[in-house]
Formats: sequence, C-alpha cells, structure tokens
Amino acid sequence: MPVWYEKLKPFVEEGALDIVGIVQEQHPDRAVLYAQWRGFDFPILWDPFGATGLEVVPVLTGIDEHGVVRVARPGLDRFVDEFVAAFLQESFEAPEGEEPVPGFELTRAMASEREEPVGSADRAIARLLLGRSGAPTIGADVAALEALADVGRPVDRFRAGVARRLRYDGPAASAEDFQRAVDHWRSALLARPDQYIWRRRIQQWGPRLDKPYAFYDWVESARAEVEARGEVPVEVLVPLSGSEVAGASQAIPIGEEDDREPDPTGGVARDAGAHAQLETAVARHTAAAGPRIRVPSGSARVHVTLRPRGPSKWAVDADPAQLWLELPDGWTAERRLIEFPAPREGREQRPLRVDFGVSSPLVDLGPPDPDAPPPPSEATLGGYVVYSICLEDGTCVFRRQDVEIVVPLMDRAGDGDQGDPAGDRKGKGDD
Amino acid sequence: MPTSVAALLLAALSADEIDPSVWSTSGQRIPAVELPLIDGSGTLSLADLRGRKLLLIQFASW
Repeated sequence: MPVWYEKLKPFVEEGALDIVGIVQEQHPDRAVLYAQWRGFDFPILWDPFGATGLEVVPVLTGIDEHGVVRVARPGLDRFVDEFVAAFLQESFEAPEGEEPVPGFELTRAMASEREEPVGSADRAIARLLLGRSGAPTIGADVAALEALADVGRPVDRFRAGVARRLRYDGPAASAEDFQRAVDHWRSALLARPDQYIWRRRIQQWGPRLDKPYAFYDWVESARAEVEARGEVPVEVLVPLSGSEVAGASQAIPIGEEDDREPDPTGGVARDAGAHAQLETAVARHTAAAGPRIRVPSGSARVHVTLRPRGPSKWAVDADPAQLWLELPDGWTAERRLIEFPAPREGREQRPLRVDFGVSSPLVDLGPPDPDAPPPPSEATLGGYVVYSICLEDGTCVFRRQDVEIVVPLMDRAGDGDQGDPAGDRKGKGDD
Repeated sequence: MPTSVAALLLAALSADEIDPSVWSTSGQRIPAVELPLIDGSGTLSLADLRGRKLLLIQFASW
C-alpha cells in the first residue's frame, strides 16, 4: 500500500473523507488486479470512453462536501501535508447559484431521449459500460457510435474506437474491429495531437519505438506478490499482448535468421475462413499523428488474431499455429516465423493472438523533389498462417490461410480534420 | 445538407464532453458523473458522495 494511502486511510475510516478512483483504461480487469496488488480498497470507476474529458493522468482533486474543487493536482511529494492542512481541516461554505456543468450519468444516458444519433450514442456508451464485451446489444451499440463518428467530433471517433475494441475482445467480434478501433483512435489523435490518453491508447498496441515505457509489465510481479500474501490474484480476462508488456526500444530486435518456412510448397489445404477467422490490425507509430509531422520510417506493430468459427476448436495436442511472413525489400521484422501461443485445455475456442514489430526502409527526408514520384502511401506484407483445428464431428485438420497485412505509411489527406469545435482548447499533454 | 454543417449541428447536440480543466480549477463545481465500478459490481455517482470531502484520483495502472 502506498504511503499516501496509509496516511489518508484513517480519515476514511473515521468518516471524514471518501476516496474514489477513476481509470481511463480500455480493460478494467487490469485495474482490478492493480488495486488488489496495491491494497486499494476504495471504489474505482471505469471510464474507457473518456467521459470525464481528461487529457492526461494522473489528476488528483480534493472536492469539498458541496461538490466544489478546493485542492487541485497536489504534487505527490507534498501531497499528504498539503491535502490534510489545506483541505481536510478546513470548512467550506456552499456556493450560491452556480449549477454544475453537465457530465455523464450512466443511468440517465440509458434513458436518453436526446435526438438521434446523439441519444442512441449516449445509450450505446451506457450499455457498453454495463455489458462490456458481452453486451447483448453490442452490434447496435457499435453501429450507433460509428454513425456519430462519421460526422462528429474527435472524441466521438475515439469512442467509436473504444467500442470496436470492446467488441473485438468478445464473442461478437467482426474481422475488422481491432483495425477500425486503431483507425478511429488515430483519426481522433490527428485532430487533437495533445490528447495524451488517446495517444497512449494507440501506443498500448503500437511499436516499441513509440513506447514511453512498458504498459503492463507490472502484471507478473503483481500476481506473484499477491500470491505471496496468500491471496488469489484477480484474473486478467483479456490476455496481454506482446506490445502491452514490451518496453521502449530504439530498434526492432531482430530474431534468428534460421526460421524455416512451414509450407514452402503451398501444399497445405486452404481454409477459406470456414473454420477460423483471420484478423489483422496494424498500429503505427503515433509520431505521424500530427498534421505537420513526417516520420522517417513506417515503424508499426502488427497484430494477428485467429478465431475459431462456429463449433470449431483448436487441437490442444497439435503443434501451435504459426505465421510465416513475406516482407517487401528493405523491410524488417522481429521474426519471419512467428508462433501463436498454444491453446489451453478448456479454452479451445478462445482466439489465438500474436503481435510483432515491423519497420519499413528509411525514407529520405531531404528537401522535396518536385520531379520525384510520390512516395508509396502503404505497403503490403504477405504471408500465411497454418494451424490444426478440430471440426464439429471431432475430426482435426491442418489448414492454411494466406494473409495480406496492409501497413499505411502516411495519413490520408483529410484524416482527422472532420471538424473539431474543441480544437482551440489548450491541451495538457505532458509528454 | 453539407457534411460540415451537419457536423457542426451534431457537435452542438452531441454527448457532452467535459472540459478537463474543471477537475483542476479551484472553486469549480464538479460535473455529474456516474460510471461503473471496475469490477462490474455496480455503478457509483459522485453526486451521491455529497456531504463528505472527497479525494478523486484519476489515474491509469499503466
């Protein structure tokens, strides 16, 4: 338990103070484990859609008994002394007249009678917050947020991305959900490049060259410490991807060159998607997410998901599924042969996921040459996956699906400029 | 209707985006916020905590 919480907990226990946390993360289960690990027994709220409007975390606010901010962003080093002296010991008068600004109230949003498509977007957010990836209305909810994203503000595009990623993590995933999520987040960030929380959402699944730090490398040590205390660690429901635990790096770590192609003759029977759904998503370096920024290379993180269709199941006693990567000239990747994690017994219908870094050849950033052909706007990485999968009748077969991974190298003209009424607001990004 | 005009109209109507400075400006009333708890065990409205002092910590575990 952190020192600050140890010092404040007595005030909570004697009824002088409430402590509430709010996390903006996509996946709440990780915050539940974090709270268990750190001994946070105060309520923590989940705000993946950014209802509080924050652009940066952490923000600490002391609020009086009338709902008025009295101490704002106290520095952690002098936090307890300042907080106790200037806030907890003082009495405040109720302000007169002024009404609070509107916010987001889940119960009210569920019953929203606002004009469409805004009203349906309000309800969609509320239902997704309650039902998460398994929300029974998730198809309609994603559609409602997409409709607003098409014509709305950057925050609407960010929220559509959150909804897409939520669906990707659940049983109703569509093949393009993850990529659409990343695209929405990128479009939102292009319009508001100082939005630190949106940038972090992309970096979470982005390349190591773009990471300020590892996002969830604490999870393993948290589990171990919780177990050492004799407790059962909270389960992380959505598996951590490689990009979420990878730390910052100045270069892509290149693997062994003796990777052997699993199906060099192309003899493995093709699965046209009947048994497994193949999904790809590419999260690019966010340095390109600014209207006047050019990046020297197409550093990106590629995510590949294999999802059993219908009654199909992974064969747990077979070799793990593999991805073979064909790279254009000059491109690099961590490996050319990438192995999916082995399916676990009892989880044979869960999706299998891998992710890895790729980088394009360096681009000359010299003065523009009017006679030179325009640089390519995207590159396509080829390859295929091979996997063993068991069908409804119990027969297990070995199958292959070819894959094309499109890596954009620049943002399209017009990306991120769909109108931003809040665009002139001063940002607080502290990158 | 041109897309840009439609966008402006929708922006005027659409789900409110809280100005983040409200959380760090002394003297500001906090907006009404009701969200689910991270463990899915229910929801909490900050308005329900009126009458006691509140320390609100907005953070991320990453």
